[in-house]
Amino acid sequence: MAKLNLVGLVVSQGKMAKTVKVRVQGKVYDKRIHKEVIKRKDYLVHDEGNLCKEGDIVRIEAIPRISARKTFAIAEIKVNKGQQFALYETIAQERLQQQEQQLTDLSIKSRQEVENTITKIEDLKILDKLVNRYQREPDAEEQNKLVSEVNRIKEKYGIKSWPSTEPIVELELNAADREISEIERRTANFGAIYEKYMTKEWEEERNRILSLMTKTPVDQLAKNTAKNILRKYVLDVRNECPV
Amino acid sequence: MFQAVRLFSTARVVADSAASTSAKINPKLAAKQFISPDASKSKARTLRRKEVRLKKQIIRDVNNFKKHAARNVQFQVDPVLGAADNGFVARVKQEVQDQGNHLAYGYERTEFEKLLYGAEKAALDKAKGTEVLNESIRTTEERKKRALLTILNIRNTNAQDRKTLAIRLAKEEFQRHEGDTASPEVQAAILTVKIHFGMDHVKQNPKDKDHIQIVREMVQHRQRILKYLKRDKPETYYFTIAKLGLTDDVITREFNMGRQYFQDFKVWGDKQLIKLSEKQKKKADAVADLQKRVAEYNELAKKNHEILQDES
Repeated sequence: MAKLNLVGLVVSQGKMAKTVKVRVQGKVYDKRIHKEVIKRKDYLVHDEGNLCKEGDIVRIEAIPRISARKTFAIAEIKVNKGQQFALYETIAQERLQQQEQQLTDLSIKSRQEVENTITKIEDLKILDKLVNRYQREPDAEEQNKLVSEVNRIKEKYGIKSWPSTEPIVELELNAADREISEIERRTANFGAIYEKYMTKEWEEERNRILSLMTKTPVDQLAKNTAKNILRKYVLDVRNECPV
Repeated sequence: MFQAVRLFSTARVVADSAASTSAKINPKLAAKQFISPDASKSKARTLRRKEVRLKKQIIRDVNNFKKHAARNVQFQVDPVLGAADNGFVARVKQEVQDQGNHLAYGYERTEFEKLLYGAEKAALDKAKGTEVLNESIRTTEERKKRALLTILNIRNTNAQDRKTLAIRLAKEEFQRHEGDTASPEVQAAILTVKIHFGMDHVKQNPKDKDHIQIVREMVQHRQRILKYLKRDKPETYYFTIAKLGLTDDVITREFNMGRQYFQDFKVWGDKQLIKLSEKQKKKADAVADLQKRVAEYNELAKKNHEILQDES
């Protein structure tokens, strides 16, 4: 006689050695209400090797009785969802440890950045004062001292001339302004940019962009479609463009 | 780590770490009676009978205790606040309390410094005066800066503003891409921040029942969202709960933030919030007694095991 086979879900594991609880679900016709109803039954199943995890879907097979409630054994794990979950849990812990280190480094870096900005502005104020004093100083020796001091600060921040017409500190307020002007520039010069992209030496870069932006293969793209995709890429200020 | 253990009952090698419990000292050893060789026949028999009786008692007690423990499984972490040593929560709390880059009302310290430097320069350019005048402008600007820093210090702002900052930080840490405000991870992270802020209030104001209810609802909401995430993207789910300091059982098991929780996790200190009836008290005492007895068995078994080791 063929062995009795059932498919069920592991609902409890780890409480008893080599034993799991498997829930088998089926439909039974209820004569009183003339309708099929769901019937569930839990079996204690032998699991030699303790392989199953909660959430696995398994096939169980009848065996000669080995204890008061155990007459089935695990035959096959059909969906190893529970095992996968257990794996994800360990992976998550490892990933978290790596990320925690990165995040602490990042917060230290941002604090350092604040310190740097404050010292830079203090230095710029000193620079202003030195330049002012230099203009009023009659003594040549004192003037030389001031010049060397000024040069030291200028060198530290890569400033070419002081007082300067170029922006010395980047302001977030101006970021939107700069972005808009960049977009305008790229829109006006898109013809030139496009021509550059179509040359031989930019071919590799062009293919990279096109494959990045669409799922269709690059050689199957129509010319105007490719142009539109390139325009979209170029008008995003975060991306670099040749001109 | 897998350990190949050959158990005496089976001939097959089983790859299992749980089966290594056989190495643990069996509490049954606590019943061991050491019969001296010069004991009389009747004395020896009494001791042997005593050993059998005690063994039965020990097996019954240990099994009853196991059953009780299986029925009353504790949560692995605090179901509301999560693990105490959680990095994410600690980071957010530090940013909200310390004077770092963040100022009140969403301003940043670096931008603030740059702007005020620009303002001072503009004032100096406009005056174009003597050294004395310049110096006076500099001092007024310095005073302005100090006043603004005091006003904008994160410690001087209101609770709502601090919460807004905390929520922003949570969003930035959990977002899938820039500008993501509604993925389940972000929603759960925001709720976690809100729950922590809410619990701070609840700890100080035990009588604010409405607020307790709000926090309770948020805890349930977070559970619901994370349950969805588990169905949708299990890998992200496990990473998110690990990052929030929660565990799977806290999300999937039934939990209500009631008096029992407040008492068990000592939210308001050692206050007794649930009064047990006479019957319940008796039952609890019996369980405590059982636990004590099982601990005693284990200790005695250890001692007896050592004696047996010395003899052999």
